[in-house]
Amino acid sequence: MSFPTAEPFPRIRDLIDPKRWAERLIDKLEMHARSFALLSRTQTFVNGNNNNIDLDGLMLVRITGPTATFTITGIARGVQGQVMMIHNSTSQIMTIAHLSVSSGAANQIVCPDATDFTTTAFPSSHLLYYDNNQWQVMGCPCASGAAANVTGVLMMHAQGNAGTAVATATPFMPLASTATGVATLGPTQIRIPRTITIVNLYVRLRVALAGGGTMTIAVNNGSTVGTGSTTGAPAVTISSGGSTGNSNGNAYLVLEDAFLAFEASFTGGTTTATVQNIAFSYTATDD
Amino acid sequence: MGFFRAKRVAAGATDFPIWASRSVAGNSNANFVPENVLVKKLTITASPAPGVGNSNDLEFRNNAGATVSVLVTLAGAATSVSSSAGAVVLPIYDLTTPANGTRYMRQTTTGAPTATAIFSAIDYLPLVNSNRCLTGIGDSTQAFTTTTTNKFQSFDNAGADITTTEANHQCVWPSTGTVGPFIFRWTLTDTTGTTEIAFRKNGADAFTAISFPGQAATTVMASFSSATFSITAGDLINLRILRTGSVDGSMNVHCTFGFTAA
Repeated sequence: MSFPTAEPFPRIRDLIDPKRWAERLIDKLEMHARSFALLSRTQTFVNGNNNNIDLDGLMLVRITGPTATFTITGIARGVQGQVMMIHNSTSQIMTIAHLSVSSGAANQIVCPDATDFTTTAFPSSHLLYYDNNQWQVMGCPCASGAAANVTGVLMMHAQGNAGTAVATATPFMPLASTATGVATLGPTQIRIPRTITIVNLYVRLRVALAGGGTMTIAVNNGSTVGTGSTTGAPAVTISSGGSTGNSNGNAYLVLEDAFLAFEASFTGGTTTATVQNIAFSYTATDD
Repeated sequence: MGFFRAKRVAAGATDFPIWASRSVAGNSNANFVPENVLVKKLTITASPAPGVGNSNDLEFRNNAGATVSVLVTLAGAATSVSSSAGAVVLPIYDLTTPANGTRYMRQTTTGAPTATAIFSAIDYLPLVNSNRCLTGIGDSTQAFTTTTTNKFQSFDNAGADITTTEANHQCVWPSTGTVGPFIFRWTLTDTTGTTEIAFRKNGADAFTAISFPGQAATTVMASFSSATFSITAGDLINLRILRTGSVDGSMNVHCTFGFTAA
């Protein structure tokens, strides 16, 4: 390590000399230790797995070499308390493998959430430290500079040119394309793989609603297959003669692993409808 | 952060698109991965459950037809399952180096699973622009044939759903922002005829993607990395395809595109 605080140990002529030396050393540390340089080097990695990499005690490693995706499975010669910054200067996806057996046990790396850590931006830098006979990755695999929330869309469209026919007895539809509504909830539910907040639900009918009553399409939210409820969930009500509507942006939280479907209900003289598409926007937050 | 996609996978569907919301057999050419993405979780739901001795497997496949990763299996009495392994990177669809790219998903079954269709969803993070949601339009089950009339294709699904009545194919978009960029793929290129493909917004061309007479037969995709257009919640979108002159046969059109909210 380069550390510009050298203060030669003095020849001790009296008891005051060590004290003065210590004071000078403290002054220099206060002045220079605010900024110091890590021992660094550019290191060539290879495509695919990089096992038991020997980085020779470096504290800052600038990675070059890969022309395709590459993975770090382990780093050799870690020392308790050692800190290392790795910088992916390539334009390739880099993965730090969680406890990969491709490297020796003492060289393996523990990643956040016990999940392989993959770079999400180029270039990117990541901090590791060595503790308890393993390397540890600090932080989460978030894309640098990305927003905390992102907005996505979910589109469900009628399967076939006739639209999706729903009726009082067959009100359930999945969040994916379908030909007709079905009578039971279970065969339409989709397990949602992440927590989201539904922002706005839109419905478009193939033909204007008839029958003099209303139709409501709502999100059905359940915790198990075969059960669910529309209570409090986004819903769109369309009156007879109408063909489009939206839920006006009432935010609705859907937890990871919930089971979602769309459910139609009818009032008045309306008992059927032909759906063109259903869509909603949602925001997704950090994992 | 990230996004999710949901899809219906019909019984008997083997190879199918990753981004389309409906999947049937024989459309592995559609809706490829448009940029590098990180898939963090995949779920399967089926009702009824596959049954004793039966299972449904879902995996991602690359351009060369090899497995990218086997992610999840739904078996026996279970009605739902979620991948428990770590995240997997799906490299962008790549015609130049086929083995590097990801093109489609594959379903394999053991025994005779009971449900007529299963549903799957993925949690994914785009690695190029983490704020950009990805989605797709079109599949391989319905072809455009010789015509001198505009034909229209619906958003996110096309099976048995290509006609000259645009209103029947327009889908309402639920969020305000920017649509694009786009990657188009088609399954046949006319050697002398002319094909025009346009992305439509509210019944007008928002972006004319492709107009190609006499292309080489091997030209089957085009990327428009800088093309975008604005969209407002409530706008209607769809595809328009016009083929004129001497055409060589039926063709399928697919588009995968991004969306960034305002």
